[in-house]
Amino acid sequence: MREQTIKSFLLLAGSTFMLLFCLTPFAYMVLTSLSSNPYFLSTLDWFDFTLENYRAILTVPSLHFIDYLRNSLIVSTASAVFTIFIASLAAYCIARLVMPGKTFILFGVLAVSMFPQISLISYLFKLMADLGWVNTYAALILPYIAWTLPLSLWILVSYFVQIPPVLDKAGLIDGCSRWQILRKIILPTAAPGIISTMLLAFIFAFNEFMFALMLTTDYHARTIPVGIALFQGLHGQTPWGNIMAASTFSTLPLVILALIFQRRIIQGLTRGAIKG
Amino acid sequence: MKLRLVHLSKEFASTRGSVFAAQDVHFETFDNEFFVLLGPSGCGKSTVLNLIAGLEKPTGGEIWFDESLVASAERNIHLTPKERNVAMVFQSYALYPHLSVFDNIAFPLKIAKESDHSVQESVNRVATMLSIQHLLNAKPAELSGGQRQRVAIGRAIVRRPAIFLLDEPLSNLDAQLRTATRAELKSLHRKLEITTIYVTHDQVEAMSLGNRIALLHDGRAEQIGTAEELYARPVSTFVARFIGSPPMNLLNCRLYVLNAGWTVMMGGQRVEPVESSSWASLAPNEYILGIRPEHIHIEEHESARTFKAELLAVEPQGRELLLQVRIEHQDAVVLTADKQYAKAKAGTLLNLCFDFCEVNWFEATGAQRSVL
Repeated sequence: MREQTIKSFLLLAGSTFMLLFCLTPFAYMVLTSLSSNPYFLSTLDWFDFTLENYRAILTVPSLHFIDYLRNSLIVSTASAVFTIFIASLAAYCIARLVMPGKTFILFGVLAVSMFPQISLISYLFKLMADLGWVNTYAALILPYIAWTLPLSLWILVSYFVQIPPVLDKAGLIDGCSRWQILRKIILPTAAPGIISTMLLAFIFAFNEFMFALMLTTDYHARTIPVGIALFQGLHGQTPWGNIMAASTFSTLPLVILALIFQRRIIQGLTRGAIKG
Repeated sequence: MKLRLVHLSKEFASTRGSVFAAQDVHFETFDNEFFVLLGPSGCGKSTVLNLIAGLEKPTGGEIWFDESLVASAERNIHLTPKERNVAMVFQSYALYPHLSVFDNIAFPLKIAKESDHSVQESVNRVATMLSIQHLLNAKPAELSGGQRQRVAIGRAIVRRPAIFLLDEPLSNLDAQLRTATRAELKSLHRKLEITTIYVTHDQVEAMSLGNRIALLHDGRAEQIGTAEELYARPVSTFVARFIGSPPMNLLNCRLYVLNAGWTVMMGGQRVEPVESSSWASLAPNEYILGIRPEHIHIEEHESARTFKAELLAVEPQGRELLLQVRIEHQDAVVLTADKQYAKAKAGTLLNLCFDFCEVNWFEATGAQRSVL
């Protein structure tokens, strides 16, 4: 009984610490965004509640926050969708085809993804400049697809190999083409994997900073992380209230996505395919 | 429909060289026949089924559905399963986990783009036939093994296939359900009148279901025939061992002529059989004598027609007794209805009389094929 108590106490203490450790910056961000005095913690001033920061980022056109948000959503969605499309085709082949050098391909893909971003950026900038694509969506979407593809491929392969190959055979017998098998059997069965992989790709593109910094020049293509970082310096002083409000606001899409798909991600859809 | 396999072979290239999963398999089914492919695991029976289904390409030979050639290695013809119109029930059922029972059964019809109305009608007809109407909205995960089995059968029969392929469909069911489903499959086959190829490793299942059985061994069809033929006249010791429970006794012995009659010599014991007129094709040699346990009789008294055997153990089988005996260092089993042996002690000496009309002779060497 005593041991039980100690155990549960330690568990509680540990998780409380973890939670505080993870959420304190977040709470600080939210509180700052709601305060009229961005330095209220340091001077122990009274917290002064205001929605002015939110009103500013949503309505002041010169801040371009709405533009950044739109750019981010378009770029992230496009790269996530294309990544998953390409990765699921590739993963299906790798999971099902009997071919030599399959592991070589997978590890090759992994090795390519190990290049540090910084080593690519100068060439990438030159390429995009020559193509005349700097400050367009394409300049971000294409590198993002290339960047998220290896991880997505690996995750999807691991999902697809868990789907019993006999389902493909059943599909063939029932008159499906290979394409129909992928679309009507494999993808729905792997839905939790597909969705969580798509979320990962989305989050990556949504958070990416360096490519976005180098390949965009203004609000026509600039994404939120870069946009927020460049808030400062507009009027000589750092507008912490606006930055924090924008940061808080831009976590919303991710939170909403996670909430919507939470059930589908957790649900184990492969149950009951075969005996057991 | 008649299915005809012409010298069908399938060779797999592996890292350790090429392996024949099926070799020169050659047979033709009758119209609407229930044909069983029987064999131990790894004998190639599932490969043959996959070749018939069109899931794999043969590396030699041809497959004919009636007068149409559906696969030929030489002429490079390979029709897809869809074009062959085959239906298959898999050992693991292979139900689509994301679809309800209704959608699982309707799946092949929807792929064939049938109208909603006719899909509804067909699924309901099949569901009624298999008594699974109440399960139509359930997902496969919510069903028991027997119910999944029915759904898998429903999906296969919903669109009147040209041929019905079953890959060990009963092996995941418990013993009771297996017997019941076996009977149902048989009556379903009578009702549907579709040529059925059934793969199993269970000889009891094969004997009770099949019009005819092909026993496969190492990718070759060892023997093709009715259950009675395989049981009474096995072409090799492999068939003799595989068919029948308990299996046929196989005893090494020597056959020679003494006083113008045949004499069977087993170890130090000698027997002069009564019936030997049909052994004209035999030559004096070493042979393997094959005899079913029920064709060995126990006699009260020792005679020139009996072997002496030592009783090792008695296994009551309910109606009959199974006696484990040893004749001249060779083990054999005897089936007897005589209950007086139920209490017999191990070590008792028995006088065994073989019914030589029922004896099969096999070569003592090589493939051990039947010599009669």
